[in-house]
Amino acid sequence: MLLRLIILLLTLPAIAHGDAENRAVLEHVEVELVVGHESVKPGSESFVGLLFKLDPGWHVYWKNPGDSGEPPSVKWSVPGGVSVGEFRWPAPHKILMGPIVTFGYENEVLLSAPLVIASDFQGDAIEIKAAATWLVCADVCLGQEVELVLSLPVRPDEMVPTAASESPSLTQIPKPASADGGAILRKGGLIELALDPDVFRPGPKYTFFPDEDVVELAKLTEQRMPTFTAPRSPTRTEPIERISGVMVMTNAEGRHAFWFDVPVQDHENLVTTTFGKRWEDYWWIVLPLGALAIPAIFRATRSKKRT
Amino acid sequence: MRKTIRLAAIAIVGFTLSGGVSAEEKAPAAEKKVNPDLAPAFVLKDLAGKERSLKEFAGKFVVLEWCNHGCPFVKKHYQKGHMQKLQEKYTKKGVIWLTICSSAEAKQGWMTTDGWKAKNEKSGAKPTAVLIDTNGKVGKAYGAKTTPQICIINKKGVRVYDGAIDDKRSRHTEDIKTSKNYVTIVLDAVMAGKPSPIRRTRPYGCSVKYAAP
Repeated sequence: MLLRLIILLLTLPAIAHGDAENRAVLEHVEVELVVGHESVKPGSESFVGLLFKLDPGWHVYWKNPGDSGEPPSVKWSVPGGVSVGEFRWPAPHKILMGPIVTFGYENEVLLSAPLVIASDFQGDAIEIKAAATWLVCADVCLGQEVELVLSLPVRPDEMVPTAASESPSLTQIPKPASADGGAILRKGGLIELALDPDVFRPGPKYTFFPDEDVVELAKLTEQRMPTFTAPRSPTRTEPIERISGVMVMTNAEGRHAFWFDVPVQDHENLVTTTFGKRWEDYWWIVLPLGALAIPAIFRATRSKKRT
Repeated sequence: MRKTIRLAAIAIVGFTLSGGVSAEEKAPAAEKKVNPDLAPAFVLKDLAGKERSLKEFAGKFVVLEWCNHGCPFVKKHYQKGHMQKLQEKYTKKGVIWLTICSSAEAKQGWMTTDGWKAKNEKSGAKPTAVLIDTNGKVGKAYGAKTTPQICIINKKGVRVYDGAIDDKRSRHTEDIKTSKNYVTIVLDAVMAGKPSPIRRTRPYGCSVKYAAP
C-alpha cells in the first residue's frame, strides 16, 4: 500500500509536466504545444500556441476574465534569433455564473502567438519551451501548471501548414477596425459608443468584450448599431480616457470579431467647451433663430388667408 | 398680423425661459437620496449557531471577507498565513473581522459548522466570526462577486471600501510580498481618522458559488 503510494507520488509530476513532451493530460484539460508549420525557414514567420481541449462544462479565460477568473499565461523559452510575440486572443464567449459575468472559452481553443525566425538564424531545429499556468473552472476552479517542449525543424523547403493552422480559433482572432468613431460618457455614467459605421453596420446583433474594467458587465447587453451603450463600471475609479475591446457581430454566417480602440469624451466637458453649461446660455442661438423664423411664420399665415 | 408676430415672439421667449427654469429645478431634487454607501443590514448565524447582526457592531470598524477554501485565490492568502496575520493584527486593534461564506450547500467552499471549526483550527484563522450565508442573500446584497472579496465598513455603518484584497490579480502566494494590500491601506487610514484613500477596486478570484438561480 505504502509502496504503491510512493510510486504514485513519483509518477504524478511526470504525468503533470508531460516530461519533455508537447502534450499533457490533466484533470478536465488536455493541452498541447503546437506550431503553425511542419518546418520553418530562416527569415519567416509562423505561430506557436497552446491548444486546450476541455471537458464539457469546463472553461479557461480570455485576457480580460471579467468578474472572476484568470487568463492563462506562458513563459516562452526560444533560442537566440527567434522571438515569440503576445497572444492573439480569439474572441471569447460570455460565461455566466449566476450574477457573475466572465469571458472565456469552452470545448476547444487555440491561443496562438507569432513566432518570428531571423533571416540569419543558423541551426537545423528550434527548441521551444513553454511554462504555462492557467485556471480552469466549471463550478469549481483548478489552478494548473505545465511545462511543454517541442522541436521545430528548420529547413529551406516550402513551409507546410500543420493541422493546428486549420483551427477555427484562428478565424476568431479580431480584425482591427479603423480608428474612426468615439465614445461619450453621458451624465449619470452611461457610456455611448459610436463606432465606424462602415465596419459596424446596423442590422446584426453585437456583443462587446471590453479589454479592461470600463463597463458594468452584468448590465452589458447584446445590441444593434449604430450606437452601443453600457453603464460605466462602478469599480473603475480612474478616469476613462480610451475604450477598447472586441465587438463580435453575429449573423447567419457566424461570428465576426473586430477590435477597436477609441477616445472617450466626457459629456460635461464636451458641452462646456462648445456652448456653455446650461440651456439659458443658448439664448444667443435661439433668439436670432427665432427672429429669423418670424417673417417665415408671418408669410405662412398670410398665404393661408389668401387661399 | 401683429397678433401673429406677438404670439410667435412670446412663444420663443417662453420656450427659452421654460428651458432654463426646468434645468434649474431639476438640480436640487437629486440631492435628497439616501447614502448609497450605507452598508445593508444583515443577520447571519456564526459557527456556534448564534445570530450575529451588523447592528451588533455599530461604532466599530468592520471587515467583511468573502471566503471559499476550495478556491485557489483564497488558498493563495491562507496557505502561508497572510490572511490569518491580517485578521490577527486588526482584530487586536478592535476591528471586527467577519469571514462570510456565500457558497450554496454542497457547492465549493460550503462546509458544515464542524468542518469550518476544524478548518479554522488547522489554518490558524483569527476572524471575529465566520458567518454562514448559504442562500447567498448577504453576498448578493453586498455585490460580492469573487473570493476573496473585501468590504470595509466604518463606525457609522458606511462602506468605505469594496473590492480586491490586493493589487496583484494572481493566485500565486509569492506575489503577495510585492503587492499593495488594500485592507491595510484603507484600515490604517480610516482608523487614523482620515478618509479612505480608495473607495473601490475591481475584485479578483473565483466566482462566488451562489445557488443556481
